[in-house]
Amino acid sequence: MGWGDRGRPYLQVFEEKSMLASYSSPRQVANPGVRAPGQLNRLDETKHSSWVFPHRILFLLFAAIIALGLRPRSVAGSSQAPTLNAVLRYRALFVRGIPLTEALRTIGADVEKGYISFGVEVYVTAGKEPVVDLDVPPGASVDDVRRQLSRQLPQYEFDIVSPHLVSVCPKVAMRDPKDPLNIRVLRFDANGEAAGAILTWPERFIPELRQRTGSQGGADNKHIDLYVGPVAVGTAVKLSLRNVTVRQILCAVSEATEDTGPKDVPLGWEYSFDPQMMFKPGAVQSWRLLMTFPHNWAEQVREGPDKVP
Amino acid sequence: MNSHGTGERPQRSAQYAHLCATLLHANGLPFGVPSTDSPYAGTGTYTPHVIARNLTGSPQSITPTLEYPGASGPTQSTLAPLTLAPYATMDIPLGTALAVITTPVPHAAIGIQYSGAPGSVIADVASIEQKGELAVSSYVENTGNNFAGSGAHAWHLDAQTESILYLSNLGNQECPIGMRVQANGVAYFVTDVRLKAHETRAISLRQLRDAQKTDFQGHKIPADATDGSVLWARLKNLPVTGTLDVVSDDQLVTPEASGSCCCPANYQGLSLAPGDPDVLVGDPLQYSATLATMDCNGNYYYATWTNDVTWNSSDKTVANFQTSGNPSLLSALTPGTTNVIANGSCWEQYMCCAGVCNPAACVPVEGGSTVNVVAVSITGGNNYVLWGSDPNILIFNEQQAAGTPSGGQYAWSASNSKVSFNSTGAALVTLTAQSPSASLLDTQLIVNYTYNNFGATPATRYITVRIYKFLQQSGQVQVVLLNGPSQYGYNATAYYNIYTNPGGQSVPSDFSNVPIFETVTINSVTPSGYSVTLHQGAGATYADSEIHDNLSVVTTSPLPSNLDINASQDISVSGIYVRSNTLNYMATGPVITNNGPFN
Repeated sequence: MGWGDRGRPYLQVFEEKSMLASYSSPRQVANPGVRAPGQLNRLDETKHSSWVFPHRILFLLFAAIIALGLRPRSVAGSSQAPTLNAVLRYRALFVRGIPLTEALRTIGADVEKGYISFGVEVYVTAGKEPVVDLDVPPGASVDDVRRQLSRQLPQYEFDIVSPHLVSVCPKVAMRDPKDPLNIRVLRFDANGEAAGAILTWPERFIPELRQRTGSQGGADNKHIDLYVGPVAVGTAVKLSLRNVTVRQILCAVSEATEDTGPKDVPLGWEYSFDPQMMFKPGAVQSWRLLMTFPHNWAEQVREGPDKVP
Repeated sequence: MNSHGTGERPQRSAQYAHLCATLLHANGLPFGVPSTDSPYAGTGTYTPHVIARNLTGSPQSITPTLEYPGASGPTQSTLAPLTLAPYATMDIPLGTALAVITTPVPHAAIGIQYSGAPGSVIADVASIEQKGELAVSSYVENTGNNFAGSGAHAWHLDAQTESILYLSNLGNQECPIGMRVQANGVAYFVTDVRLKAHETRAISLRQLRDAQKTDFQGHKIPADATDGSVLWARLKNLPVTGTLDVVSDDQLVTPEASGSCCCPANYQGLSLAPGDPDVLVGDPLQYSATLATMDCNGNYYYATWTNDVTWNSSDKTVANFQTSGNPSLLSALTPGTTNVIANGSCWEQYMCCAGVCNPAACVPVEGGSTVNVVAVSITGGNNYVLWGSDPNILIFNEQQAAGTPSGGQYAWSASNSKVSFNSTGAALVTLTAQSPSASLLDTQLIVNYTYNNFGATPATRYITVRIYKFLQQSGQVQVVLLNGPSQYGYNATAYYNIYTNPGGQSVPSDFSNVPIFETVTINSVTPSGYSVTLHQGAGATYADSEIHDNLSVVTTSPLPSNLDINASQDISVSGIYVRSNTLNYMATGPVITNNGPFN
């Protein structure tokens, strides 16, 4: 079962050249910036005012990445994020009060040409995600919808990670040292593991994260892992990352599912939890694969996944 | 050829003597009171005269024979023999024959059989009107002159003038004639002249012109043509003579004698019509064959040869000729290609040298044609397509057409917009569902196939655009307990079959890799105090088209016996919501409660 051919060559191979990893994207980008794998990129302020990122943070990021010795790479700017300009299908969308991730899946399914994936961190309250309305006229672009969601959820950020991957997370989460996605991982190696398995149960592949999650059970080990759904598979991933955050690992894994074979689909991820319950007995957190490939995905990949804009 | 169109009486050369027989022949003569369809109608009453000369010193017996069109075809009437004295010339009036032929005839021919050696009698023949105002003479041919058999004559038509071509078959078998009429730069071919044994045929150039009938090449004699030429040639090795009479009111008739020798029409080819046709299964196809010959002057003659050949098909399963009735009628039976072959008796070619022509070879008469029986059918694919965005679903939505013969153009379409095609011009196309069917088989697929610009009967198929609708659990939930020491809990798996609407059919086997997506919400955890990390997998169907839904509980210490984690589970197949469950993760395994949809 599953997407992809287990026997084929891995799609991304990163060579470890020194103590510090060198990150090289399979795509060459013309607009050099500075970004670690899975690191967020900020759009041009004048064009994407709702995506403004404080300059000081940008500076800090720049300095941090230089310090890490990571090769400069950027996809910032809409020209490197073709999906943002992609037009949704002809139909109008008008939906009220749907969960955020449901809205993202609806948008992704409606992309007419190209595709978009999301890496989402979402705060839940009493098990419920924030809800949004979708009021999308015919001919609207993905970016139009992104602005619409930003207005409804001003406490959330929508950031471009790669031409096809958009990160969605609470603004405070990026700066919250307790946030599990900000855990720094000194070394992460994936040697052909299925992307879906990593994104669904990252604790199995990231010991630092497992340690944090396990501690939620307290001294009595009152913690349960619950699995539901088909066994998640997906593209076999080969990654070697150093000194990155969990968030960056997850985004890198998602990126590795882009431009894959015709039997695969791009995978996003979702991590949800109630911040008020964090580290308290009875806390519930959830990892989920987020599939947002469009309705016509099969038609698009017929010409080859690398031809999909 | 000698004296074509000149009216000059050709003299037999001694070198042809060996070809001669003891029968002389003249045609195109008015006889008695000509019938109303004769060019001599109303011009009087005629008595034929034979003026014969014996070239030998011995007496010879002369036996005249009258040939004329009778009610049942060419008719002969032999008169009483006469004696021709040595070196004598005798005028033999055939007035006694007037009593023999009681019904008016348009024209007659006269045969003169003599008893001496071939070439020992020469003769002239004329038909003289009783009042002596008109005499119609005719060229006399020796029937043994095997190469008499072609001619070229000038003709003229006006208000007072008719031109009649008389062709006489002196042989004992039917003889086809190739004939071309030339006027105003147009060559018009008459391909259906066949003279029966001993038949004399009168062909009116006026009737031929005024009929304005197109020949096999699509030409007509110009309607305003008043002058031209007519050329003819026998197409079988039989003695044939021809005379063109130009008859003008109150004027003496001018006979134009036929040519006589040494320019035989030789075989050039046999063409079949239609040439290389494309037909549908069941279509009848009437074939015809046209023989092409060319004389020594480069003149082509054609003749309908349809009934002179045998017809065969190289692949009788594709198309075949009738075995009785109409042997050139082809029936298209099955799609494919076959070669039609028409074979005739071999053609005797002649080589001519110094005026002497001899048979040289017998050339096969053969023509061919390729018949394409064009058809298209839908040979592969299901009578349904599935809605969804599954990247692998498309191979199940393929439709395959096969056009025969190969190499044509396909054109797919659908009766509504419920499906779209990745390409409408390929044999193998993939459909994408645009909207589900409201009822079974409500969408018609049509594929047209064009080969050589010939369209086959379109092939059609009715399909249903099926959408995933509900799940039905298959068998029991399988539970494998984890009893430590590092892990406790269980790995459980529930199995579901997928059903579709409209119709409620299950997704058949082999529909693997259909995307499965779930949304799970934990409602309550008993006993309290446990923190839970929920891992929501997404995947796809297995090769048996089933969903294998993993429901596992893993912890590092034994599960409490009163464990009950209550969760809501919504399952989607290829983006379509199909099932809602309430899950209760108990200490010994999960309990699944189906909340629908149920159908």
